[in-house]
Amino acid sequence: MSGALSDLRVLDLTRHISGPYCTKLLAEFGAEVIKVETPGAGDPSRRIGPFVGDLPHPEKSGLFLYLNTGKKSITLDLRCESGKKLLKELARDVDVVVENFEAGILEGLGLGYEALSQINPSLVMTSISSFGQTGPYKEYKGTDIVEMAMGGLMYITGSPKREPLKYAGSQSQYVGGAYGATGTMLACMYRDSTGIGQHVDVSVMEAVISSLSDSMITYQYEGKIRMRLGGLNWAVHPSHIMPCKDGYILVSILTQGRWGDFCQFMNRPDLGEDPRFQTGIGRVSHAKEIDAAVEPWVMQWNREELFQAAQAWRLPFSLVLTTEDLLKDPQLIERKYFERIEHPVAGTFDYPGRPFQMSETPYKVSRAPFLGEHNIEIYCGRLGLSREDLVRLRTNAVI
Amino acid sequence: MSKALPLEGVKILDFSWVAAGPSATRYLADHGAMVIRAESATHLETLRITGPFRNNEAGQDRSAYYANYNAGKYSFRLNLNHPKAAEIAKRLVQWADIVVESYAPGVMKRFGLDYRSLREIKPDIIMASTSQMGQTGPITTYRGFGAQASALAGFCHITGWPDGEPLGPYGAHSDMIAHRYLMIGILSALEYRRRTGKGQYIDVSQFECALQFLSTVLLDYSVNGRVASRKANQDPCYAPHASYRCMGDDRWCVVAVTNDEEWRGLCRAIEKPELVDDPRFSTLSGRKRNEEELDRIIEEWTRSRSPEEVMHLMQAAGVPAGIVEKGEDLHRDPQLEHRHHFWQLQHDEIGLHRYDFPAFRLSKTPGRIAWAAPLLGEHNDYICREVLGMSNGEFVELVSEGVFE
Repeated sequence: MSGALSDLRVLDLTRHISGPYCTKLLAEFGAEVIKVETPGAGDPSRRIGPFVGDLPHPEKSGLFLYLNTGKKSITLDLRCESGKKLLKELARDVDVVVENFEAGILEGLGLGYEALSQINPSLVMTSISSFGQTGPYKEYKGTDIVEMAMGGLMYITGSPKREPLKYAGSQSQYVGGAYGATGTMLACMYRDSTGIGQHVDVSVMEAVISSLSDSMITYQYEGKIRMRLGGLNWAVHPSHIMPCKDGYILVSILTQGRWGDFCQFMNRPDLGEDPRFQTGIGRVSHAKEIDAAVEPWVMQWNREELFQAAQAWRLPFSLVLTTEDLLKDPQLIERKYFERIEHPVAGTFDYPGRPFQMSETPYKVSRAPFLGEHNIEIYCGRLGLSREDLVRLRTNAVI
Repeated sequence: MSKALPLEGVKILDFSWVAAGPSATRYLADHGAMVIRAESATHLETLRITGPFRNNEAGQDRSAYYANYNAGKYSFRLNLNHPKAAEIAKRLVQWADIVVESYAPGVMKRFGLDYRSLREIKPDIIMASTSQMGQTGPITTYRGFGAQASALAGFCHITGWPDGEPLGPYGAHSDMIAHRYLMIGILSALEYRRRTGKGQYIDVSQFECALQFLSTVLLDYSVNGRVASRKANQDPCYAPHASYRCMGDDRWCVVAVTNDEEWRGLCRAIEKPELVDDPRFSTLSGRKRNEEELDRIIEEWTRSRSPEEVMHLMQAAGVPAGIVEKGEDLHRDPQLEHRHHFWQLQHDEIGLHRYDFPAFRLSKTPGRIAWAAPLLGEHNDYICREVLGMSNGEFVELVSEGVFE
């Protein structure tokens, strides 16, 4: 059975998170991905943890191992002339090049879209950068927190009394990577029917904006600025996280019409009849009084019992799971979300798996490559270099 | 073959609602797909009844929230609970390449529109379902929306201050995440069909999609058994790494120093060269150890400056920094303006309104938002006559029977 994208050959110049995540998605759905790494050091994510046993080692970074499953690794120095020449040779024979250098870096090396598309006119090239390839901020430095701030997500996250918060775990990088894969596939479809390649330009800042749901439209519509509200920011009460006996639970009625059911569930018909709490606005403006009644009741429950009992009332409460809970979650286990992958150096552990299931085309998982593991296969097998050539390139630190 | 857009000629029948499904199909419409949104007045799409509304007057065609995710689509009013509706839906399935839906698992089957039934009518159909928990598993029928899935997926536990309770990410966060995977799934399936002629079924669980974004923190548990906790804006590897209060009402700028060179740049920017070699801050471990003191020094400097000034001065010194933009900042951001991120379109009820454009730009086929969001059922007449080839008599009969309520 072939993968959905098994026709696609990708030359991957990416590093860190956003770019490698993009090519990881392409690899998992069948593409051949040849990852180009700096000789010696490799992808900088090889030096970022979490490391197995907390011991830094280039083949033991959990971040690198996860983001590079299913790829081949070759080494190549893009700054020297021989390296550039080899890269152009490689670009001749692929469908897609993906990169996530700061905007302008590859052009500076003579390896931008203009140069590569002259060698391979039907090439699709995808660039992922913090602010995009054009505009006044194109050369500004971005990191995850900067992209999240500029994309408007931090302003609405946290409490009105304190500073704006970022989301944990490099999330803007993942959004950028996922949009990179989408843009790449659209451009490939266009090329398949017309023969014409093109350049796909992904701005992570704009990718973050696509996570804002109603907050931006609220401004242009009502002239109101969506504030940080704490909790989940729904203008519905109660709808926030509360402590219970053994952890936290999201208590939520979500839609206004469920207040009556909620009061019955709590066995507090008096609250259901209290005139102060009859409307959504009434409940939001008497939030303190409602919490004073709800919180002690929630504290009497274990979270799993309360979660199940609320589901029986079709009230959308939710467990506030930790990473540990997630690795043991019965829903994820039954759907085989996590993938156990063996790696000769790093060992065997569970990786987050496929983002969705496809009925006909398999999802491919295999361990991440060692640095330069596929040099011989690609340089000798694909480009026809001899072993002697390879030794010479290696001696000169080109590969 | 000449083609203006990558998805020209691709036909999508869209039964999805709220955010995950509709935002995915909108982006596909922007790149050339024809999308028919099937919806009903008997059970209005949640976003049609969720504000913000123009001038705060509610109305089924006045929600900007709905408008943003449904621009460029055709609206087809169809009451799936009517006995004759499934028949009409099936005729549209024959027209379609792709069917998208986001009902609770089992509902499409009740309508006779599950994948197995659709495949009988059209063997190469691609069907994509997006649900909270996926189509299988012990809690597949879980009641909830994106906000709940965010808590389940572990976002809440790790968002907030170490000394406070878990906070959520904003709104229906998992919906916002899932639409990206729905697109990737649909495009992968189209590519597979192009090569093999075969359709397939795609099962998107928002819970699982959301976990993709937490891979970094999940790995720390699976590699080292370490459970992630709330750290506000702090980063284990970088300092300073925070949002700093600036001049003005609730205005902030973030600054992130990721290496010693940027640290020297920061000292230059805030005109405190003596800090460069200050033993408290000269190394990363020193900066992490004295982070609170460091944040205080930086905020002292940022407080009397606008976030714009802080960002420009920091960036000029080579330090990653960015304004914490709110709605109005985004609408006047020069970078977004330059990249034409917002599209202004005229809507019959809403008037001029700005729409988000996808964050990926294709150089030769940039795409477009063809028109503002449709009114409920705006295209029934067109779809019945032009797409389904109905006679006038049949159309009128179905209308009078209430199939199109």
